Amino acid sequence: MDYLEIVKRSWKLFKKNPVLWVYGAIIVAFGGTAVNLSGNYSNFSRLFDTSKPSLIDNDKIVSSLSGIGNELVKILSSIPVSFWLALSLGILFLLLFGLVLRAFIFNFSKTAFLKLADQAEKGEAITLGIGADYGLKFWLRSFLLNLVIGLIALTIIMVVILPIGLLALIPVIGWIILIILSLPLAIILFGFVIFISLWRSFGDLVICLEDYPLKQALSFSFKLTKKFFWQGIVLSLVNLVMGCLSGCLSMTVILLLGLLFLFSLLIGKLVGVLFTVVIGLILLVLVLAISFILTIVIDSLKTINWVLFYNELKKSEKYKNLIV
Amino acid sequence: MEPKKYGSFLERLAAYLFDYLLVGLLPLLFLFSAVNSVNSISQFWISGLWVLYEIIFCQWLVYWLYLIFTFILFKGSLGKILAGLRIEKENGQKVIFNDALIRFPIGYTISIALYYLGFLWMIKDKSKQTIHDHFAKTVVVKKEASWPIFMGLPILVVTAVFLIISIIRVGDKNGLWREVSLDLNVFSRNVNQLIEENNSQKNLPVPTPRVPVLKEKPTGVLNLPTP
Repeated sequence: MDYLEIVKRSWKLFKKNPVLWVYGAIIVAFGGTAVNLSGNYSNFSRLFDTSKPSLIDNDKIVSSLSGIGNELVKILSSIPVSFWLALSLGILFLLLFGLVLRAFIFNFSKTAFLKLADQAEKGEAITLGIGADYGLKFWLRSFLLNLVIGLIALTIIMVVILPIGLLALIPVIGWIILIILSLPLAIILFGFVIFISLWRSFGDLVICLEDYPLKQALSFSFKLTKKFFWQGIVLSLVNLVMGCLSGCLSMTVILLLGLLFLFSLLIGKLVGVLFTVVIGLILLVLVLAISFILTIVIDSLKTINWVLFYNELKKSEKYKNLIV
Repeated sequence: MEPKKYGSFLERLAAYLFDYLLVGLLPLLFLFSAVNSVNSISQFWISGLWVLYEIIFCQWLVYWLYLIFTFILFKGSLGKILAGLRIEKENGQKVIFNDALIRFPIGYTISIALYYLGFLWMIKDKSKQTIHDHFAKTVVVKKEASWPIFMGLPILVVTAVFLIISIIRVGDKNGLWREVSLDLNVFSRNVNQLIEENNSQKNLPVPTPRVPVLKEKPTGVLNLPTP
């Protein structure tokens, strides 16, 4: 499989289709108490002649502070309990709604992006509206698939890792066994995490590109992960390299803008502080905008890579044998 | 068939600001003004103003519900109606609750999350559709003259400014927070008094330390026992 060719085609597809920019941007956009100080402080011990007053008398400060503290307590305690209850429920509702909305929008835009990238690769016309239709169709399946895989992973980790962790409670022998097992365990855990990640990716692709129901998508994507594990790792490495390159690029940009800011500091000493503040704000906005745009481009390219990779896999004999 | 005339960016912006002022900002300003008009906590609870505080937390929900229901019932909010605009489906079908849900909570959130670029998308779009219009497959068409919005919006802005001024003017002379601010004044008065007292003590002579007085002067002669 030619991975470089996949990356080149991804870039061409992304460049030609502004609709993918929008969905890529959406994917990126969505990852008093009352103190009562009424305790009496003793005066400082009198070192000198007792007829003279001490250096500082704390009583008046403390009594004023305790006055404010008491007043705050009075205000807070006069508020009925029903208000606090309603407030807590309101905050909880707000948080839950925010989480649900975020999960929906993320899955909606991710599934829309995957399907649109596939359609664009086949030469079909794509629009925001068409993407929205696909997003609404597949978001729930994608969300449930990721949830189920996540729960399976968590269960396996708890069942396998936890008993091994209990060895730490056995002094000396347990610790020796743990030290011996630590390296092979770390390798197995790393491999397990990669497997889960690949399973999720294949699961999303199978749901969006093949329109499989949830149960079928889970089992088929598991088989795909087993069959194409090493190819999946290579693609993940390619995506990792792309990510590192983009990171280097954004660091370079940030350094250049940082140098500009230093230069503006020097000019600011002659012209005035306001100049530096204005330039600083402009440069900050530029840094944020450039980072955001770079993230959109790289994350979108990585996602398109997966779509093209999956379409290439479909042409192979191994894939055809799986379906049969 | 006559080609559709779409709502312009300015008209839609004016309608959006009108709705936001009417449903979002004005109740909040009115509440603050009302709170500043009571003199004690007991008055605050008796007058029932605390109910409005509860509504503040759900203000965003009230705003969305207002947009959703006006869209379903009247094909547009009050701001859009005043601007002579109506929201319709692209294919001319009747709007349903799902369309409103996709357009307002979801579509608006996405447009705002993209640094409001979702709203600006309509500037380059042929049908003057924003991103949330595309998601919900709706268009905003012009049905009537838009001059009422350009009268209604300034009236609301003037009302908002008037309320802000009344809050600022009333705040320090009257109101609920006087109870708390009184004690803060007492505290600052006491501290200033203490600092003055401390400064006045600096002019006194330095007191001499008390030293222990020995009863017998040492002779330097040791009285050793004789063998």
